[in-house]
Amino acid sequence: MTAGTIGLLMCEVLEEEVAHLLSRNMDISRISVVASEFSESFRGFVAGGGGRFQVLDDPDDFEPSGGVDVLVSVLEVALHMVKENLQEGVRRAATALAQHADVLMLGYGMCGNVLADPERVLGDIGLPIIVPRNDDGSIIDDCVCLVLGGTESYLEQVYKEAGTWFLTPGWLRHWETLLVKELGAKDIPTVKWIFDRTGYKRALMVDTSVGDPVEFRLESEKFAETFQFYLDTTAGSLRILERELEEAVTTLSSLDLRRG
Amino acid sequence: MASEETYQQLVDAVVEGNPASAASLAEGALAGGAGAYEIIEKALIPAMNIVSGMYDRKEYYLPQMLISSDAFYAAFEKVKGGLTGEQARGKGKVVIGVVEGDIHDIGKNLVKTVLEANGFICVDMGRDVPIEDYLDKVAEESPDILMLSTLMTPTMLSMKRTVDGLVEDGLRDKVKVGIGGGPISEEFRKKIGADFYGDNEKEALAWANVVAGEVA
Repeated sequence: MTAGTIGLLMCEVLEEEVAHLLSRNMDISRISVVASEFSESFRGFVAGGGGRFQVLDDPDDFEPSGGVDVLVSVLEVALHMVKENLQEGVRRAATALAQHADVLMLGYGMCGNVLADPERVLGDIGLPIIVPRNDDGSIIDDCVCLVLGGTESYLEQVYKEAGTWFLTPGWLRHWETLLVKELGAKDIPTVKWIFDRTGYKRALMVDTSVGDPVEFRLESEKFAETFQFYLDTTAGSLRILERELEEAVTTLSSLDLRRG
Repeated sequence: MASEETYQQLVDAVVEGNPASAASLAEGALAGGAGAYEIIEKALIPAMNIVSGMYDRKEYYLPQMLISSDAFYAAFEKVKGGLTGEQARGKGKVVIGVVEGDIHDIGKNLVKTVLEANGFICVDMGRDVPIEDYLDKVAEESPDILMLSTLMTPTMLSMKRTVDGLVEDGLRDKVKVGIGGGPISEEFRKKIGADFYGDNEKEALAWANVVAGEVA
């Protein structure tokens, strides 16, 4: 039987999708989440998903279960707005996880090229680093491309309408923070001015079937109405995250075999 | 010729994002005998360099950039008709635009303005330009340079596909390709076979001048 710990470092924006995947994965014996203000929603989603789950005040409180553990650290949204913040935040959290993990799994893409070379940012933690990838092996651009199913799916949408703002349940939960931080706007009217000035016209719901569909629709409609966007929907996919999780488990298994 | 004080007031109007004041000052400087090129070189471009610096230092964010950009173009519109002589004849032709799928054009507009102010004829394709449109325009206009811009990593693929399209259509050796934008790098330039990567409008101009010298 495979045993070991996957250290999962992720952005708040993916909380619902990752919780959904982890809760349903039969290979995982237990999910441990480091408590922080940024992991609060994620903890709720994991707890609601069933399965063995615990909250830790500190990564150092972690003890292996004897099966496949996932030790999760959640960082705040929009860190990518300042390159150094994302790199330093990821490095610090990964170093803490690495004390207890056998494999590091990143719930981040390149995020504006900030993490385009994860080995350079995290090479000294001494663990295999698993990142989400497109079908061609390239690192996924960001959370939007990830839930769309890859860069090609993203391009298909922006070729249709370049001024598209992508919506997921996680993004909608944090949108006011994200928009103010991403755009440096002091309030919603300023955000609207920026959208109008830049040419954004469409809000696109990316439906991965995760979360409450009625709430997702209602919040999307509210967002679209606030900024006078027309609202569209497209099917999303968690297969890139699923594939990444499988790779993390497989890597654990290969490490396990080497340990004999 | 306008006074240093007038140029400083114009710089301030652009940096502070006051389109009406910037337009009025530019118009006044022109009426007072200052040359269009001089107004652009001594006030408008330095102003946008200040704004870019403030943005990089997180003193300005996107709203301030956009407002300053509005002030810049309000002034530029008043003076651009006064570009004469070498500036109007053009020392080279540039097709410039933002790649397909991307609507962010502040950087592209700044490069275009600097190139125009320095004697290049620019065919501005705008933003979210389909790849085929670039290829058609290069075939039609025979420019010396094609300048492509993007702000986002996924649409870097559009940039690569545009360059690939030039190769497929037998146009690649007829035009120099320059690329720029937030996520672009020298490494990416080499990967897609572009001729130039620049971090800002000054670098773009320096390279365009080299190309112009080569084709003159």
